[in-house]
Amino acid sequence: MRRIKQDGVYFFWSASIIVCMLLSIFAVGFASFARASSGAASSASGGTASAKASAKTSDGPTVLGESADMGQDYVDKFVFLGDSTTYGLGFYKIVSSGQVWTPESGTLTLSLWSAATIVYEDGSQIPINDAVAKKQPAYMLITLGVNGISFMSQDYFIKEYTSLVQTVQQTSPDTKIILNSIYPISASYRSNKSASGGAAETAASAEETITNDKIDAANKWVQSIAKSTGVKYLDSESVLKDSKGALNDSYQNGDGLHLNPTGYQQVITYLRTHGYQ
Amino acid sequence: MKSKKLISIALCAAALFCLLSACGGGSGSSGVRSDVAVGDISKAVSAVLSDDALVSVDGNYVSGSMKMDVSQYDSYDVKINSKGVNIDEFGIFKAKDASGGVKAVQKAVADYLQMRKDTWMKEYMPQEHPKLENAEVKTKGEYVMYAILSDSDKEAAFSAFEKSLASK
Repeated sequence: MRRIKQDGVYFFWSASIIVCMLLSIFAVGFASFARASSGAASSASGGTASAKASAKTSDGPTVLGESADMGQDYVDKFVFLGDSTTYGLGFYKIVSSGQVWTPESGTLTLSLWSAATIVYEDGSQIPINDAVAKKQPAYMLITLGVNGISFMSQDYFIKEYTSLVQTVQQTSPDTKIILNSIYPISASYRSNKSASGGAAETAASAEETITNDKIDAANKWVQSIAKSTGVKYLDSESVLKDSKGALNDSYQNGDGLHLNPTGYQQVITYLRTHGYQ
Repeated sequence: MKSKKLISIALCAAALFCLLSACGGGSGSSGVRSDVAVGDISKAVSAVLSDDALVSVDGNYVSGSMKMDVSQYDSYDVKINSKGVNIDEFGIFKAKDASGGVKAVQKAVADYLQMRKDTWMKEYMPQEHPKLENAEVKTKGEYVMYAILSDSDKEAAFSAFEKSLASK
């Protein structure tokens, strides 16, 4: 009788321990699964959704050729998206400030286009894609890249720029997109920086990595993006260069990188006389 | 009878091992949790900052602009100011493992911060430069966080980071 009782106790505790073990194994497994799921979600949030645009693309040459003057009405239909070299269009009142899409800071780096917000015409600050969806602009002139060329590789530059164009195409298929050339910098740009930076300026400083050679190379990338995405390319830099290929000093605002009102007027005249075809 | 005792002892030892594993809550031997999603930590950090304009960047930015190999990390989140009005930024990375992985993340973050300092353009927002000069990195278990923030925001951010990873 005593032996039977002992066996009963033994089996009871053995069964209890096995049940506990199974529950523990289940708990560990469940926790691992949950962790893996949350990790995957977190990793996914760091990924980029590559837009596969199915927007209308235009026929005809990629580089806009000379045309009749399209007039001010044509310019008024544009949205100008870009960095600090676009900001000046509104700042100098060359076009309406509502047409100029730049972040509040006035500058935009190509690599950050998907995270950045721009100041919309009603004063709100919204992501570029939201602004495109809201506005559905008839024409869009994009001027980007001068900040990016100091650190972006060719592949990275093309990937980001293409992604931007395809996103606009997908969100607003009827928008006629023109990729503008990056404006040249003046010959005095580097020497200005050296003078202001003094001995403390590091050799690897970013301003030294913006050169006209890099700009010329990047403009070829921009042109290739226009071709591959079926949009147009505006070679406006051609009216801004001096005989040595640098920004004509009469078009710069003093820092060697940004245009003055005369320079912007040259660009707008070029835009009007090289209309979208 | 002897075999029953042996089986009982083995079962008890196995049960104890399982219970300890399950009740650990993802804590490592250092008392830091390893089961917290980076996104949740990032959310907790964002909540204590004075600027609500920080947004996450994508993997292309981390690999292309920050020159960091995203395949080396379990997960990550980097937030920057979407308006470009300041240089506020922080990033949280979870290493793939606690030993060599953490060191690799620490080095990558240090390299990135050095690159930022080397390429700083003095004419743009000079008032923001101290944030970069005083950028800090903290490591808790498998997680590494850097912060380019004002002193007060940085203190609050690291506090939230550590609180998120503290053992329950």
